Amino acid sequence: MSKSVLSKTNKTHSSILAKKQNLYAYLFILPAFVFLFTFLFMPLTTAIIKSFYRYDGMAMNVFVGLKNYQKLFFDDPKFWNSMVRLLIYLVGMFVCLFVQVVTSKLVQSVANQTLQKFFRAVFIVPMVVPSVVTLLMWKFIYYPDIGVISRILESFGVNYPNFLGNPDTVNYALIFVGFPWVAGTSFIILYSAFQGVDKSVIESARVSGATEATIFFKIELPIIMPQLKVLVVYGIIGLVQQYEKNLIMTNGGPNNASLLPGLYMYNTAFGSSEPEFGYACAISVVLFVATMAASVFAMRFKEDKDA
Amino acid sequence: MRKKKISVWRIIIIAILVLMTAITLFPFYLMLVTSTKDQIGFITNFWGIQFPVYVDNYIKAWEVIHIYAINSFKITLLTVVGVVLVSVMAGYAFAKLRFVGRQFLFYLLMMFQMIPVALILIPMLININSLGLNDTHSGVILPQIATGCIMPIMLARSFFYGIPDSIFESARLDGSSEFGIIRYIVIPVSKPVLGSICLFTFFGSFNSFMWPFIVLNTDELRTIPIGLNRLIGQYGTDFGFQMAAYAIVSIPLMILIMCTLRVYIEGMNLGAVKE
Repeated sequence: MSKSVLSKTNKTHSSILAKKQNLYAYLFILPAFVFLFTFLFMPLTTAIIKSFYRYDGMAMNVFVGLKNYQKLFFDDPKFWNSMVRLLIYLVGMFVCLFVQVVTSKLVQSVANQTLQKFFRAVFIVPMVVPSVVTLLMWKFIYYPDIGVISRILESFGVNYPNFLGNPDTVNYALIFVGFPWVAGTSFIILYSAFQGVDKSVIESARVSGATEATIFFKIELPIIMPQLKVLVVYGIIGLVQQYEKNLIMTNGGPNNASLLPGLYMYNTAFGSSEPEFGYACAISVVLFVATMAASVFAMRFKEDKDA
Repeated sequence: MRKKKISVWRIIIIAILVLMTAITLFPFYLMLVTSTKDQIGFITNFWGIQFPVYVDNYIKAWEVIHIYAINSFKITLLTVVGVVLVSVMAGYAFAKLRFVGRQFLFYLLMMFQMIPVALILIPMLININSLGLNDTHSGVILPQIATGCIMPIMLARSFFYGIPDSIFESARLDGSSEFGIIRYIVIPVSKPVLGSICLFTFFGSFNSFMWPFIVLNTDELRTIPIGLNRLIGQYGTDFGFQMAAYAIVSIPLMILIMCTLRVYIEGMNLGAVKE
């Protein structure tokens, strides 16, 4: 009898507590969702609405229905060329990832702890330098006549082909920027993943005569696979967003040879004297949907492989 | 025999890493040595350092970028404060409080994280214009808090998960309000995760280029990355001066990360583990 009363009072007490907590919980998450709603969700709806308008950001604001999309899909080779160009950058991304995996493994395998810490710092510290500085340094390295590559080639008697100024080489030159591509978030993630592999497993494999290569491919690589997949998914999402590099280094040139979809979107809105905000929004929506589809696909693929 | 083979491999590995280190650091070497040279030194002595150092480069560079530096620090500081407040509160609520729709709202948050921000900068600008925030620092800061708070919320949430409920419960039984709990328990215990959140947000905001570049039109309001990008147009081939400006910006950041490397890596792993 007394027990049930006790439990009853307990219950009411905890439900009051729960209710009180409830209110506070909403209070605590409110700021976050106000920010997200105002500055992320609203722009998304703006993008969709304005993609049906001819809008220059000022006076002109005319509803044109599907005209922007019609032009984008059927009458805009510049956009589709830039989409195809992304494939080169996708291959570049995988090459970078390969180098990052190998390097983080090599750093992790250095036996001397001081030396290992030194290499680790070397590949993390440059990451915080503003990307603008890194890009401008590489612009300087590529500079014709006075730049570094030009000087090196000239000392061998080779004429510098001005990699950034040549439509055939500009995209490869842009991918090469930041070589050897190790310094970055991926390095920390991969390095920590290799650190996290159980040492006793490796030790027992080594004792039973496995070679270092077998250990790497058969034990370590499968263990770090989840991190690797995350890096690939985020790499794909990041790829479409990374037009800052092309904007600063070549502005899509020469002759639009290094124009990427994101940069094209930017130029549509700001690049000319006639801003086409509506059309830029249409590009934005299409790229957005494509990126989401690609990442959902990549995640599906990720789950299937996991299962 | 086997031991000898391994030690040969070790030397090769270290040689490869030393080479990669050299290439990674080469741009910074170039930056520093070029910043010591006047225009003549730049032509006659490209690879080496110049003695005596041409200090004028640094004086001139600081004169040009100090306005941008003040703007950058203001924007970064306010963004960091905003992100920390928003993410600690939300992270605590998601980890430790029960409420209707918690699961749903968390999924919503994860969906927000998927939004490729760089692709919606133009509609973002249209919205900022209609709020009357175009060409103001608030127009940079507020959206930066929005795009920058999601990852810190996740970080804070996974950190608070690891703290036993009993601490919060006993405070509650002692009659502490939820705000009191945040003030006297949540913030003190979450110092490590607060450190990581501050660092990530600081570097992210300080180095961000595209959004401030789009929003800020008035030169006196612009931030360091935009200012640096303008130098190359305005000062053409005066590379010593430009490199001095890059060095003034980069070196303090590099020193800061070196001093806080451990916190930075731990935060990174806390975020990555929960993927």
